[in-house]
Amino acid sequence: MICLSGFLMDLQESKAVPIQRSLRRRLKKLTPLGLLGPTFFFIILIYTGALISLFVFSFYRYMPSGETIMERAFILDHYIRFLSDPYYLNILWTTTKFSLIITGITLLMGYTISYTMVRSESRSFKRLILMVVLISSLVAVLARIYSWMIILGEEGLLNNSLVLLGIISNARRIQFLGKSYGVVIGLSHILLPFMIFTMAGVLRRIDRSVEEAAQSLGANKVQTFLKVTLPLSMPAIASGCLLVYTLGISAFAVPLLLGGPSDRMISNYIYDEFLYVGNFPFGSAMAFILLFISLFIILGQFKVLQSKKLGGKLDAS
Amino acid sequence: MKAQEREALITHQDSEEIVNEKSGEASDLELRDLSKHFGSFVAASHINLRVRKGEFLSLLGPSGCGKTTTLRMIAGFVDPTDGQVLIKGKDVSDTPSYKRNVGMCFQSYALFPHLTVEDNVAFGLKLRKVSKEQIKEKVERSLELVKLKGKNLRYPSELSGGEQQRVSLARALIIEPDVLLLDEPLSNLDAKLRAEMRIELKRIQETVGITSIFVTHDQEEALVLSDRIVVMNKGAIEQIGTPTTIYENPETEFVAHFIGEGNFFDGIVKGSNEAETEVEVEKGRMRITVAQTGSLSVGARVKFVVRPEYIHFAPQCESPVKNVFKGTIRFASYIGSVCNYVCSLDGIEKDVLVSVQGEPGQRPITEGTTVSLCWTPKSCTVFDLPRLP
Repeated sequence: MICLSGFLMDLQESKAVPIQRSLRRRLKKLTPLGLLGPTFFFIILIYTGALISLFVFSFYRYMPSGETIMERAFILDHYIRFLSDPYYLNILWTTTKFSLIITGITLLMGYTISYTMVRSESRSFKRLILMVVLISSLVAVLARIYSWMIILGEEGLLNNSLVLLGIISNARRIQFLGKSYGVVIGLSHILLPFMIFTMAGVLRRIDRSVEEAAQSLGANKVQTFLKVTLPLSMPAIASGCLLVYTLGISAFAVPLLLGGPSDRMISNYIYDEFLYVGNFPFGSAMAFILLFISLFIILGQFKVLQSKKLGGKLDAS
Repeated sequence: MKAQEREALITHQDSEEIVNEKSGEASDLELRDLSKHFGSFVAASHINLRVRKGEFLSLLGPSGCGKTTTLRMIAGFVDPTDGQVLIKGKDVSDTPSYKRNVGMCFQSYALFPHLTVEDNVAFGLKLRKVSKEQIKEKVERSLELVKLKGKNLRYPSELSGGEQQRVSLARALIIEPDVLLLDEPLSNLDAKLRAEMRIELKRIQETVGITSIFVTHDQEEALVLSDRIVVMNKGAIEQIGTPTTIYENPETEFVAHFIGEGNFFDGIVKGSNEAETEVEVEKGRMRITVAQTGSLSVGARVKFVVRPEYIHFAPQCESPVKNVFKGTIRFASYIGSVCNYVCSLDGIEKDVLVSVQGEPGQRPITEGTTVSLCWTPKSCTVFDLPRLP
């Protein structure tokens, strides 16, 4: 009996060990898949699935009187309509214009702030700037929009202060809200942290001694900036602008709440098309035009960043 | 260091001394009472230094000793708290770095990554509005000097570390600076390349004949390259001297410890005559004869060092000799050119380091062997002497 059980155990071990080992090895290989799995499932299947169906819808025929709103088809009417109608092209222009202005403003502000932050020798000062930027970026977008309403309103903080200081008369209060100012101020504020964080990450990698080398060779502060710091900052500027611009053109809440009727951007029209008009195919087409613009910009920027003169060189330094 | 090299340096030093005494002209670089405080931290205090024309001077010390801060004050990147920097006799303490006309080489090379080798080198000349033909000619010539001809159109990232440092040297030299500042330029290179670049650096410096300040924490680098070495510690200068002086006659305990290996003794003077002094060390268990006279009076405390290579084993101890001791080899490490021993002196509980130059057929003495060892009174270098008025 004892002999037999011993034999069985031997048998079990001799077989079990290789199986366990190979299983463990196989499981090890599966670990990255297991970690990526859930996220992949949501992004690839659910989100991309929804995106693909939207893309398919954008070629369907709109049937306002029909039961299903749209009919299966493959027509380019919605794209053609958007790209040929001056009304819609104007929307595209407004969207582009705002994004460009906001990109410019956040670039100027963001560059100075992130450069100061990166180059500061005091660690506590660095942390202070970081905290201020981080905290303001953590406040919910809607809360920030309503704060701007309180500040910019006709009876708001800014107007009241200007009247108190005697800069404007009580009768001539400035109307910030419902105008382009509101959209520009609001969007710049919301997107500035993105610009700062993106640029600071890249600017940090510029070796300070490179600037000192330029100075020792006779370059004053301005020359050093123009000939060395700025060219080396181009990857930072490019990636910051890319992010802010793509976020800018898809803005929705800010133009809706801080802008006027003429400041509505493309996202607002997409929203209307889906919720009020019910023209799903046209709404989908608009959404994809927006997506294509973003994709186009991202691809363009990648090309710029990969070019030999900027990105490649910077990485090696 | 090899004997010939040392000899060469001695003659070099002597001729330098004569030149300096003869000419009363302003040196290329002078530091007067230069100090820098960062809050309560004193990075450099009262640095006084006159650098001779064409001299290769090293600032040597451990990290945090103030050598880099001193260099950066000369370059104009750090404002001194106190004192003056004079370049060619002119006070430049308040002159911004871009007007100082100093060349600088950085540890990280600090080449402009977005410019080609050629444009990197030409950077300073373009700022000086030199004509295009002249720039081209000068760039060619300086690339030839640093042996980088034909690599004009490469980008820094396409060059090896050594080549990048050559570019940085060419870029600094092309503006014909009054002083060349080198901030640990070799420490990012691997050992073999470093030895190569060391020779290159010396060759280029001697070809150009430029006054150079070299910051390093590597004593070997400083000994090989320098005309004079400034040993720094805790923001102050410990000793200024030629490599041989610094090695053979350290003035302070710090210098003695920092440069090279050594056997340190701390004792009381028991007697002295005109040429030699008897010192009792290790709580009276050992008497050593030191070739030092002067200020040493009986009863005074004295510290000295004996370098490992000055100690010999028995057959080489010619009689009559002083300082003969019996000991046991505790540890032998053979490193090819030399063999290093740790030898404990019998009855004294003191370990001494002995370094023996290798000879053909010679085998290291096995551990546990009893040996007798000796050193001449001249080998004992007394430091931390009370300074004579």
